[in-house]
Amino acid sequence: MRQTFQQWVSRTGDLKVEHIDGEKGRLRLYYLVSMAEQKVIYQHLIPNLQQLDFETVTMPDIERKIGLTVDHRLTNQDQVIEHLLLGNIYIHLDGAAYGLFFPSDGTQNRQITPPKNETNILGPQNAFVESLETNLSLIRKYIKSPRLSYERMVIGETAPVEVGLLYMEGITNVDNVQTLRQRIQELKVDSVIDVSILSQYIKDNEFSMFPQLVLTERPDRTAAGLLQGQVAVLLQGSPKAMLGPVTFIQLFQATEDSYFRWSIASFLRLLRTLAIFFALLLTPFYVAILTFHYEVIPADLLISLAQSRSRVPFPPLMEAIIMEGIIELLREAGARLPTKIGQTIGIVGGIVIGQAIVQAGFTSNILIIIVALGALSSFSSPNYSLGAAIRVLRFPIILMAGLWGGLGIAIGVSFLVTHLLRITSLGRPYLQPVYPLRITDLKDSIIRAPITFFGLRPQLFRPTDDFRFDPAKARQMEDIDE
Amino acid sequence: MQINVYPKISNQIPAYLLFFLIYSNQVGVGVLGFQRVIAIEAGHDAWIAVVIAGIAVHLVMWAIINTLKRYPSSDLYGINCDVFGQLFGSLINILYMLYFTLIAIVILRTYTEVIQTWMFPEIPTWFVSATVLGLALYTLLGGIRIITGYTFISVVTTLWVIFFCTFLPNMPDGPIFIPYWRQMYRKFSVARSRCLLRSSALKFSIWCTHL
Repeated sequence: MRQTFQQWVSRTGDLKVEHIDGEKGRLRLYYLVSMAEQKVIYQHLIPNLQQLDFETVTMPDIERKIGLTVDHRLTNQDQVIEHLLLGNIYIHLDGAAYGLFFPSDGTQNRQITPPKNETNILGPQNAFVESLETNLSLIRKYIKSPRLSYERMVIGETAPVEVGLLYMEGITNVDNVQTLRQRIQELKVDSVIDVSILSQYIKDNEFSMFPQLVLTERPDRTAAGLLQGQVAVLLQGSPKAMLGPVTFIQLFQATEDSYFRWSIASFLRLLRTLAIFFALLLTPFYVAILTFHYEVIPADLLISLAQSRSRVPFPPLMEAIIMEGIIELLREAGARLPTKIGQTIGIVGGIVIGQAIVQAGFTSNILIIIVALGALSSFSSPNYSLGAAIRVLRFPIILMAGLWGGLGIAIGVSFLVTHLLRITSLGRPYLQPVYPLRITDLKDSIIRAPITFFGLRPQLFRPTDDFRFDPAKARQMEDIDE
Repeated sequence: MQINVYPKISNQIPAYLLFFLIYSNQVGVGVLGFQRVIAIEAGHDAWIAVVIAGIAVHLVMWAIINTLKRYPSSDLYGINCDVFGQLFGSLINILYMLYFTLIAIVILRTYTEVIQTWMFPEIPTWFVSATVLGLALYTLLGGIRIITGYTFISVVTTLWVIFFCTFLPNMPDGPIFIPYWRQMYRKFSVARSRCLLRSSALKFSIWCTHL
């Protein structure tokens, strides 16, 4: 055992030793330069320890001098290594039965910044960072309640990392908590770098494209989810929280919908729902109609369409796949490039390719409009993973539309509906509240009812306590003057 | 043979969803082609057939419900074995299975025929059948809840077809009510007199009432 500790020391270049009482002395400090806070060593520990009488010093003397308790004692070398890796400072005294650790954390954290991916105009403007403790404090700021439970777990065999399970005691259904807790505990993997990897490990249907656990970088959204009866998972070093269970319709809902008036929020949600259909079906319809079903086009439109397509040598299927491929290429290039260069991609893609490709006779004008509309619609999805799934799903449907026309689209959509019916999120159906039908929860689906209608928590996650407030008493108008 | 069956909670559905299962059995691909059959058979006295069919359906339903009341939780197969004995019951059950298979083939063939008549005259029959059967298999493997969910969604998303069928054809003539009602009766009578689809739905209801 001693051997392994010596080996570890020899392999650890950033381990620093401070000899308090000279080279041959008994009292030493060990810490990792990269992890520990050096200010506390030079301002507190060394000045205090040097005041001791080195000949007669014992461990309890040191504890009293620098303000440590019995909870800080370390008895074996594994504990020492563990605490050193956490950034704590190890105090060693030759001949003593145990050592001490002094808690410190010198790791660097990013400042809390406004959310970059889930931007809102209304509402709070802070986002999670890469520190679990900071993220937890951001959530606790919204829910200052003893019912908020935090369970600490450790996963990863090779690189252990701290995972936090958050839920509201007495509100969240214990089934949800138990399912998630069990899946995390039974996970035997070597490492988990980010919470998105964790979500892939524990999702219900591995072969589905759709996100079955939602990732968010907004503390307010996480808090709202917890208060609805969802369970949240935080991971050390990950700037996202994972929320589950989740329903398909919730992926169309932005946090901002709750901050708007109900009529505006409903309009925006309907728009987004429409956009998903556009993103998925517009190009396939173009391909199917131009390949097989000319008769559904009005005569006036048919003339301009035929003129526009007269110079195009490809069949509609190939034309559409080329255009969709170019759009995906532009999106991918824009996502990978640094922001400053990224803007040129828009100019290159939008103006140069868009204009030139029509003049060169590669595609028709109408297809450019349709493909651009589809791409625009797919970006309007508030959930990035859902938008990505829709963009990928478009290709097989285009292919089927090109091969078998309207029948192909019907087959594709039927398959998609069945697939969505089969998916579950933490064992709860994905297509709630449509099927299984929860009539009371339709008020917060693709529309949003006025806020006073939400006196009860949604039934989607089967909360233990569904009472939120009494709508009749929620706002009693009393005139102060009288 | 086990007469009473107690399905798992995860294989049960709420009672109101039975409506959608029966509805989607009755109103299927048959509605696309029944007008031709009716015009040949029913003539102007269609409404009498509707009344008779309606009464007959109620009698059958009465018999079904009363039979099911005698068992705590049983289905058609179990009741057959209980009433007719192990051997004859099983024989009748096999006949029923063949009958349902036949109905499935007829529905599949009608669907293929519709596509071949109106969309793609040259599409091979095996291709349409294979894709539809593949979809059906994918749905069936999900269990009774997924099947019910599919019927529920298909009913809800195709309800607007009723407006197309009844209101739109009459719009150019204006609201002439009396012939309109006659039309409706005729349509109903046809739908009811389609023995095949009607009886299949009723037997299906026996089969799954215990769920």
